[in-house]
Amino acid sequence: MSALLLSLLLSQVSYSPAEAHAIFAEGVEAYGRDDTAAAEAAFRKLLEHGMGGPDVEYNLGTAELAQGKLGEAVLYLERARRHGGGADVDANLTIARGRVVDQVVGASGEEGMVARLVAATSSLGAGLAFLVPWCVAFALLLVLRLRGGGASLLSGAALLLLVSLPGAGLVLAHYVVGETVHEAVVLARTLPVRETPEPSSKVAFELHAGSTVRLLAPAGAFVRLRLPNGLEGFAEQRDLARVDDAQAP
Amino acid sequence: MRRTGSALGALLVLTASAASAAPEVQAEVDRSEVGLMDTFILTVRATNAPRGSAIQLPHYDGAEVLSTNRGESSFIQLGSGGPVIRQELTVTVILHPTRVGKLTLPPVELRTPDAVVKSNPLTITVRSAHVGGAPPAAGAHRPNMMPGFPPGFPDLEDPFAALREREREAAGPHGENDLFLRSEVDKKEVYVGEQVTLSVWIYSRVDLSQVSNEKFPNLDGFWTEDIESPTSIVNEPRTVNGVPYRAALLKRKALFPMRAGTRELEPAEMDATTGFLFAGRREHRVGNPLTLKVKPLPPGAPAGFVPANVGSFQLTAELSSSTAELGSPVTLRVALQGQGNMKEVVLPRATAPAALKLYEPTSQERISAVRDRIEGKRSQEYLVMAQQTGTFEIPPLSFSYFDPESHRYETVRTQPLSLTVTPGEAGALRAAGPVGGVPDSVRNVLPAGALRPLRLEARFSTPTPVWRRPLFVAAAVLPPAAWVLLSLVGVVRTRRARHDPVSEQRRGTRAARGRLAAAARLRTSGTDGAFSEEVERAVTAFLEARLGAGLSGLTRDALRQRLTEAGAPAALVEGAARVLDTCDAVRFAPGAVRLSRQTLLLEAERVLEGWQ
Repeated sequence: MSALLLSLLLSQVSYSPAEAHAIFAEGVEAYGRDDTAAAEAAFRKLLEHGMGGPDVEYNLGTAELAQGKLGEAVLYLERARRHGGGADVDANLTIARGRVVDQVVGASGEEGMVARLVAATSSLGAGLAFLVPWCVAFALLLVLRLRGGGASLLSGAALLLLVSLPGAGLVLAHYVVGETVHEAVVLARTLPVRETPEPSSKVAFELHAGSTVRLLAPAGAFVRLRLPNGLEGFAEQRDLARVDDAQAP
Repeated sequence: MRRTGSALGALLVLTASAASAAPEVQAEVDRSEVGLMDTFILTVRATNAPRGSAIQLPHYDGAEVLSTNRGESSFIQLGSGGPVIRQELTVTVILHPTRVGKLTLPPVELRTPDAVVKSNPLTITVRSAHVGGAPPAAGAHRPNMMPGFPPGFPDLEDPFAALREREREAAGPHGENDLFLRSEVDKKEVYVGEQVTLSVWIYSRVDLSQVSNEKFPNLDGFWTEDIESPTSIVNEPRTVNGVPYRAALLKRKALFPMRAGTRELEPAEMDATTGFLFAGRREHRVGNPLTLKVKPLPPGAPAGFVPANVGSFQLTAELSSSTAELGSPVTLRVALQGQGNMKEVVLPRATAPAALKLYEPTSQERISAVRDRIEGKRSQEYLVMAQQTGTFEIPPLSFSYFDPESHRYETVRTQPLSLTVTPGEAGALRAAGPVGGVPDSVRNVLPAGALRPLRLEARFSTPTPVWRRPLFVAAAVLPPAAWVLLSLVGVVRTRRARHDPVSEQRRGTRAARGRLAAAARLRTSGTDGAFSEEVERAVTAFLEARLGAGLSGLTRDALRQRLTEAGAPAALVEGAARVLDTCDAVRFAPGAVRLSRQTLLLEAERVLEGWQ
């Protein structure tokens, strides 16, 4: 019991930056000598101790992909993409998705312009595009209020407020998508998707490791999910991993 | 209808009996005592059985049925009601006791279309040792006078014994003991996928010239493999309960059960022709059923285990060469050797790094039965074509199986294989290649699509969405909040100032200053009248603001008095009066006054600045 508590305590202790960099280097070195399992263990250890980030996630996803663990590979590469991405992330994610067994036929493009816009932009960029004109506009209004002034100050402030509107819309889109759209990756080798949230329910279809689904609503141990082509069903939550839950290693 | 025995032909009997006899069934055994290793014969005979009757044998608890033989004859009985077809049914059963003590054989039932008639129950004593009076067998009771020869071999003491035996054999079997079928399995309890060997023998004490119409048990649920199927009768001496027999193997099969559970193997059947030429007789025999218990494989199977992999195996993998030139193939040979269901075992599939292209393998198998066990070797050969130069490792292969002897799962592994690929001789390439280039098969292929390498440096921070950053929230909310706050403060201050005398004074003073500024703008451009009017308004507005009351209707003296009472400095009082007088003069006598706008303006400014 005490050993369990000790190990639990140790697992919560964060690494110092030097320790984290040493473990990261160990993982890279293990991958270099084709010991992908050891590399995976090193990167996973960093994540478990809160030392994440797109670099660790990319390396972990790549090590998983080298071992043929498609579910984990897609999960961590997707997280790396959302946390910063990069050409290497996109390349390996494309390879991983290409190996997924499931092919969703008749995808209706339900994502829409908003989701695509969000996927194509970063929330930080959107925030800056909004904040800069917004703050300057109010600074002008304050000056106008305190010192008085001509119509030029007022029109300048109005123009800046107008310029900040697209940025504000983009931030709002990021917020809505980030807070309401939850995606998950199938980790199980085969995941039966059932008609109702019951273990004995009829299996509507099966998914396989690496497929990405949208989570709609939890239902006990199950969760209702939807595919891009509109197929829906219930699957056990333990076989899925949320992409936006970066705290879960 | 099976035709058996010596007297069961179809009979047509015409009788004049008027009475119609009731059906009867009788059972008898040939012995009252029997040894545990002996056999005994139960004979059931049913008479006057109506058409459609059948004898139903009960389950014999304490005895094993070795053979069952049924016979039937029919006759027509004439009675008062007309001709009636009657049957006589006979069943002969060879039984083998399985426990010592009193053995009670339950009644046999004769089931007619109208009723069920039961026979008498029988009791037989089973001893542990052999009991004399075994089924009569010529020579069986006599000592073997020819040591080294099988029992039953003609002895010299009775030179006519052989002759009598030949006559007896030629006359055909005197009973079921002389000719019967026996099915055997080498194990009665096996695992799923484990081999069990089924043998069907015919035992005879008569001349057996031909066996035909064999019907072997239905083996659904088993993978089967023939071990022996003799095309001619090859006898070997065997002794059953001390009685010598000639036994001939009819069939031997390897069975691999596919499902767990208790499996009943129905008895084999066949027709046997005894005797020679015109003296030959045809007999039908039914063997014994068998029960086989098939156990499921125990839990704990290793990953990748295939249920057909039951037995004992060795796995090997080898390359035809450890070095190769680009464009020169090598062969990877994977072989599995051992005992088990070799046709169904699944070989592990070889894998190789992307630099080595593995072509679909060709398979070979060599299966044989050695000492009634199926064994052999299955091999697969992969053509390996190197795509790149370098040293590459073919990963080890593993094969998991269940060993029924040790009751454990085992895993055998091969060693990793190393292959070094060289570019070969450049001159040879030029000589062998087509004009204008090197053939594709000897190029060092560097395909796209390989995984991108890992990142070597890391920043251990996960970006937070911008809307969750406090700085963003502060930067987005604070400017408008500050502006709104400031506006509110302004509104409040304005409202308060409306009812505050001091504020009103300030406001009036501000207005006065505004008018004075307007007058200053008219100093050089406007007329004296307009200028002086603005100056008068400015001063009047100032004084009204300070006094908190209007000035209209006041004389100069009254004004001076009010200003003095209000605490205005005396110089200011006089200055204000002069300014107002000057303005009146300009307005009412424009030609009489020489106005100095600058002086008037300065005078007015002094008034406004002189009473703070």
